Amino acid sequence: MAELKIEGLTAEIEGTQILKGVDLTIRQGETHALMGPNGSGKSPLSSAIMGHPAYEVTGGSVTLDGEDVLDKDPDERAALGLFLAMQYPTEIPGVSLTNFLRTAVNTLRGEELPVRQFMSELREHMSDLGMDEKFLQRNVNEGFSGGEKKRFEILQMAMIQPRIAVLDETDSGLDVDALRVVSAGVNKLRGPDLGVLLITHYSRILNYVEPDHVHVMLDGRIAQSGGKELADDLEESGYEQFRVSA
Amino acid sequence: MTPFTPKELTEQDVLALSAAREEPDWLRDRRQEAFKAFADFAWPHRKMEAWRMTDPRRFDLERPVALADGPSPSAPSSIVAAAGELAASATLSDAGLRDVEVGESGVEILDLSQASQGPRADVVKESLGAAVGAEGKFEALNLAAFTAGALVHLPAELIVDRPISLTVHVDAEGTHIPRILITTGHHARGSVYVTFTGDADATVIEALEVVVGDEARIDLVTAQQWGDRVDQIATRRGTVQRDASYRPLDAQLGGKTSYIRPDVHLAGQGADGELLGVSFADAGQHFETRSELRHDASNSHAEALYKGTLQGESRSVWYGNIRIEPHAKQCTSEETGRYLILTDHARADPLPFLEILTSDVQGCGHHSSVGQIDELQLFYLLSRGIPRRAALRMLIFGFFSEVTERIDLPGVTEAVLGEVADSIDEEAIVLSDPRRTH
Repeated sequence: MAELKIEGLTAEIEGTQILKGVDLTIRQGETHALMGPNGSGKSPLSSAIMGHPAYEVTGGSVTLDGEDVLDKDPDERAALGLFLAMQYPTEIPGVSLTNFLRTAVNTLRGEELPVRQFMSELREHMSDLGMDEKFLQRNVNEGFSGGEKKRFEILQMAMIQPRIAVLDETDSGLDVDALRVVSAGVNKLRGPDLGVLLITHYSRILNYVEPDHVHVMLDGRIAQSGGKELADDLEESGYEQFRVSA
Repeated sequence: MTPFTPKELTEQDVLALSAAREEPDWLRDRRQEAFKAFADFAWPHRKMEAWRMTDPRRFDLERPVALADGPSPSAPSSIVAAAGELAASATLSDAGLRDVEVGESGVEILDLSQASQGPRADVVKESLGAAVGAEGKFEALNLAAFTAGALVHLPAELIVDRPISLTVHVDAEGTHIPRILITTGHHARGSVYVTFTGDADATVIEALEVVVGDEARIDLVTAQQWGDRVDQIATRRGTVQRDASYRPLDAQLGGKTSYIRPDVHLAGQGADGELLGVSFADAGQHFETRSELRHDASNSHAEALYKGTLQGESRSVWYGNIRIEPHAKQCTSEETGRYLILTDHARADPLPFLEILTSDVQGCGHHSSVGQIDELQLFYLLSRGIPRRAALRMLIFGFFSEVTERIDLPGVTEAVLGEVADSIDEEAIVLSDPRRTH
């Protein structure tokens, strides 16, 4: 069973330290929620895991099944089974969505999927996510609404079949109906083969995607970990209580 | 006759050339007239607006003109090879036209000197110099002293489905002065691929004129695929009659210096022009493209779209102009130049201009940009497992897609992107800093 282990991770952006020693372990089959106020370091953590060029890791380690993740390029991390659903997916004009997805899927699954099978899988997942067929004519994220971008991230996750997926504020910017559809999409993918780190600002999404573990992040560190009840607690009392104990 | 040089060209040289080509008097007179214009123009220099970005001294004008035929090209250019079946083909070399194959296509490909006294003499008489006249030093030089010329004629109503290929082959040292005239009758339609192959220490002074008859359509591909020793000056212009359409695509891939004027002259009501260009400037290459969309009739529509990538010590200049004449009402016109700098030491200058002489315009605009590969876009592709090499290629092809998705000619996109892919130096690519976009 795959295990993503983050130990003492520190990172900075433009010389500002933003991760100050993060410890977190996520196993296949588990769903973890990571919550925290703005600026607490949630997104930087997900970016550092995937190798985003703006973040410089200054210490600590990230391993997947004991294999060092940090010395690898993002494409090699993806090949290990890591996936990041981004908070702000990048628009790539001129690159067709189907060409992009097919290249990614063929590379990561390590086999040339027959077009027919690829398309039928794609259509099935699109229908689960309430995505129109016309989507296939478009370029990667180009001109997508916020909700469309989030659905497309989950669609990619469904097609790529990662072992550990980090969902960075996939719920932000979604109305209740879209949240329900996207959550259902995530739930469908959950199972013994997938570990999820669900990063969120609000506990709203946790009503749909129920986590096994909840972590609270404050000022670049994990301040508290617990079960689902921790999220309920946060909903009532806010983050301040943890600031004291942190 | 003795080979002359552009610098020292005399009237005697022009007369001798015409005589050697056994041309009729009217053509000799036209050359002579063009020579007079040539003699009156000053040689271009840096202080002239049109030569501000490209030093005319890059062109060696003391190379004697090449007049003899060398061997035929050993292989077709990649674009012609990818095109599949051709409707007609020919090669234009220094002594004239050869290897002409027109089959049953109905297309006529003739040596210009010979055509000027054959059954198509009227066409040549009417159209030679109609689109590209003796308007400047090099244009006048070409009209006075073109050493080899081709006429490609599509008679009225002829519709040709497969490409017509004309290869301009340069393999001898010296100056080469090719002239190409493409004409159509009304309602004719076809695509012409003009590809430039070979390599030599050569200066090429080219003129290419296209006269598109009423309601006809010509798709033109000009592809520089020669080696890195050729310096080229070209003036190419389509004159487009009523409701006709002219769609040239310029693929600037080879050569050392390339100074090109692709223009469209919208001469008839409802005429349509779409000028496209893709370029890949590599170390040591200097490209300048000066496009003009000239609206000379009402309800005409034109668009220019030039996209190029640069790598190593290279330079690309695009100077675009839209000119709408006072009597041309209700026109739409748009011009765009975009460049992607792949590595350090390259420089691109897209410079759009507008000359709108009427207030009755339907729409008119210009766009330009210079950028680098976006590190965040690359990260996005990498994070989906796509290896760096494939991801970079995907982004560069994506950059060109604005042009390539408009091309529906056999083999062209495939061959051009193939050449681009082969030229990319992945190791040297410099990305735009993501921190600037935060």
